[in-house]
Amino acid sequence: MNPDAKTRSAPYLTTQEYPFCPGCGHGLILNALGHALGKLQLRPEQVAVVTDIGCVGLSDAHLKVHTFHGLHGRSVAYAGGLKLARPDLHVIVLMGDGGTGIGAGHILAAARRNSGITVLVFNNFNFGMTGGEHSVTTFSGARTVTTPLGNPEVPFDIAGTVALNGASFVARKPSTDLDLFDVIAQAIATSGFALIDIWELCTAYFVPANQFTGKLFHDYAARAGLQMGIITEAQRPTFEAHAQQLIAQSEPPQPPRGLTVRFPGAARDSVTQGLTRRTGLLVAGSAGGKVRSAVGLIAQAAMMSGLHVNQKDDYPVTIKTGHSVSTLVLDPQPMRFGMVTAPDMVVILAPEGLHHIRAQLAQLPASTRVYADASLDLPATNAAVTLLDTAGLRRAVGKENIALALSAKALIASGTLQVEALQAAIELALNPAYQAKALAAVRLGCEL
Amino acid sequence: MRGALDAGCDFFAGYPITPATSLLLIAIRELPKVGGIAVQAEDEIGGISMCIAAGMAGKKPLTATSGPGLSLYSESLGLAIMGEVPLVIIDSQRMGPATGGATTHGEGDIQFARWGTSGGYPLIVLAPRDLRTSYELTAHAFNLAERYRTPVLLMTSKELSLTRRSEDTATWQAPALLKRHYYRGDPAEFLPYRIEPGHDAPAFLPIGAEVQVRFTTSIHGPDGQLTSDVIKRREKLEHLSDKIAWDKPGVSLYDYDLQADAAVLIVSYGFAAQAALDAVDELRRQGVRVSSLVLYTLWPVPEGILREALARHSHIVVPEHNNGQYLLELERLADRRFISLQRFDGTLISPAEITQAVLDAVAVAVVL
Repeated sequence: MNPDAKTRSAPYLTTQEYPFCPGCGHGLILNALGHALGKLQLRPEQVAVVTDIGCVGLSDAHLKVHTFHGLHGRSVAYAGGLKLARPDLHVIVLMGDGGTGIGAGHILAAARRNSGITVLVFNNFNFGMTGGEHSVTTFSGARTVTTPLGNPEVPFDIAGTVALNGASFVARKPSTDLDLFDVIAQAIATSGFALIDIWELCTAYFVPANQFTGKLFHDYAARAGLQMGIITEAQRPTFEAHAQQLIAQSEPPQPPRGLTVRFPGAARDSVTQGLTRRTGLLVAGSAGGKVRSAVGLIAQAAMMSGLHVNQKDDYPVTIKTGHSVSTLVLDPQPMRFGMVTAPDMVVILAPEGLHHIRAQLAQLPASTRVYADASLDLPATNAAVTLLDTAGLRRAVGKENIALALSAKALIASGTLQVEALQAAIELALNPAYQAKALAAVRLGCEL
Repeated sequence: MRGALDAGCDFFAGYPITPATSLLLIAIRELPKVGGIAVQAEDEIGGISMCIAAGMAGKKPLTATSGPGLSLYSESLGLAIMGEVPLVIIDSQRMGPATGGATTHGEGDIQFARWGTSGGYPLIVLAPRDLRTSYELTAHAFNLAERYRTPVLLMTSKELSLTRRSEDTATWQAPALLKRHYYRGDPAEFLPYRIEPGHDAPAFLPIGAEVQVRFTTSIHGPDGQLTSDVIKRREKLEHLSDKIAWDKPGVSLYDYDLQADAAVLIVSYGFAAQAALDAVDELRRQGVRVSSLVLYTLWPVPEGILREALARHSHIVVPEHNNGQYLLELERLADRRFISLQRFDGTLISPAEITQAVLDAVAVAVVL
């Protein structure tokens, strides 16, 4: 036998009078929710109700379970966060058709994830609290204060939409159905995402504006092609189970891997004590040319040589097209700002990089050594330019290793780093499959 | 992110955005290893909403974004303030406004961080200047979030998050971790927003505790119920205003390097502080007397140290990677000659520029 829809289940609901208008369906749905929780024999502490904004948001005060009242349309996102943090809780969202519109993205995401929450849509086809404006579920042609000629929009089928997008349990019910509590209980008992689109009367606005009655629910549903009753029952793993599985399958964390100084006094020759002043290398190429990777390898070689490094990258958001420019600053002392006024060495690999540093190139001092691909048309500069024919190198080690080859040449020729440090960095940092070509690039680059 | 993991962060939700995406990626990779949860949310609002809910369920949440995402966080920041949610937010700043320059440096969210939600109530904003302070301030951020039950913003930038550097992490020192103050009294008497004497924020019980817990974004009394009682409303809002103040324990963080008989002071924060400190070294090498104040707490404005430092110097050099946003705060604190160095084209203020500005100021400055 169905419980009396007009009574409140004492463990979950207060006896205080509801603040809803006479004839409003909200109280019936809250009563049905209480009976559903009672049917499932849940303790109030096992239940968290998240309420959205609108008249439905006034429900908190009448609930004796955990309550979370947040911002308009975001209730499903809060519910998802609660369920992830506390998978043992039964998390139930009470939201209006207004919240369903503004928060539709969160609802779809939760359905697609199969977040283990239950959403009850208190759907009265308009905004009650703000004065009867149309909502996403207002029927076509319906009169509201914001649709003077009748609603030109097609109603949003929230139930059908979540059913199509991964929800585990979906139903559409009038608030006056005596078995509503039972369908709510089924939704709460579902491990995955459940939603019930509950149709009800807004006696303040929608009813008088449209001469609407509860008897018209089924007519309107048929006219809009909306199915009533249980629409979907499916089972698939929940998002929370997935998160727990990820935790269970994870290895313990490892501390960050440090580098050991193996080549102290990276030196011009064995007589001097290595790099004595801040030195800058600028590598300008195109996206996909492994500029940042090559400079990163060099940075590791420098660290293994006891130097401090700062690698600043410059590339457009397009990632795979356009320029890719890296500036590496090496210093025997720790750095703060970590930049140089003008780089000591410049490597130019491609037209995109050249274009990006063209203005800078014109201002370089005579002390800067520039190594550029011979195919490039360089502007006038005071820097000492060496043009390199890289065709043979490209054939031998591939275009993805040219940045490393030319940078190695600049660094070794200037005595900034030892070739052994570069080789060690390659062996430490690169996947063995890539090591041979990178090592060859360093060797052949230096021979250019 | 390393700082967050070491600070006990166990929940992350965020949306990909340059230059903050690496934080999402590391969270996805690392958090499950410590039993934590990391989610790529459907959008920024979903991300911060999940974090807020998880925080109220007892987690130590973190989210990360850049300027456009911080704009979307706006309403939720107000929710976190009103509901007194412990939450750390990293803003990896980039050139603005709007999408601005995704891979271009900027530190222009400084005033927005403080005034970015309706109502005008305070939160805490910290700004690291390098990787070490990023690590250490992340721990401070979690501690402040837990202690004061407030959102704490950590303002990093493209220059810090996308530049790779060698660091001696053995010298990094995070503060001891603070635990959230949990309610220990009679469960039957628990009120979610009652403040016990001697505490800065209400004693906490998570949603899901063995007694009913209420959370609300609307104006409420100690019981977490909507209230129209003027006295209860005033008490709540005064509490929100008063609990975040520069003279509260652990709130004002800075490095003050006072040089006797210096007439010029550099006040800096964020990445501009790196160039400022290099300039101080260079100036002192040249025998020029100059003082430095690096601010790590931007909001609430650390007025104690600022009044003290501003009072001792006649000329104040203020380098900023924005259109002079923090200058406004300094100007209201003291009648001094301010030299504002502003850069917002994506390039960086160099140590040489600050050095020159100080030298120019020294020529006319007066030792007070």
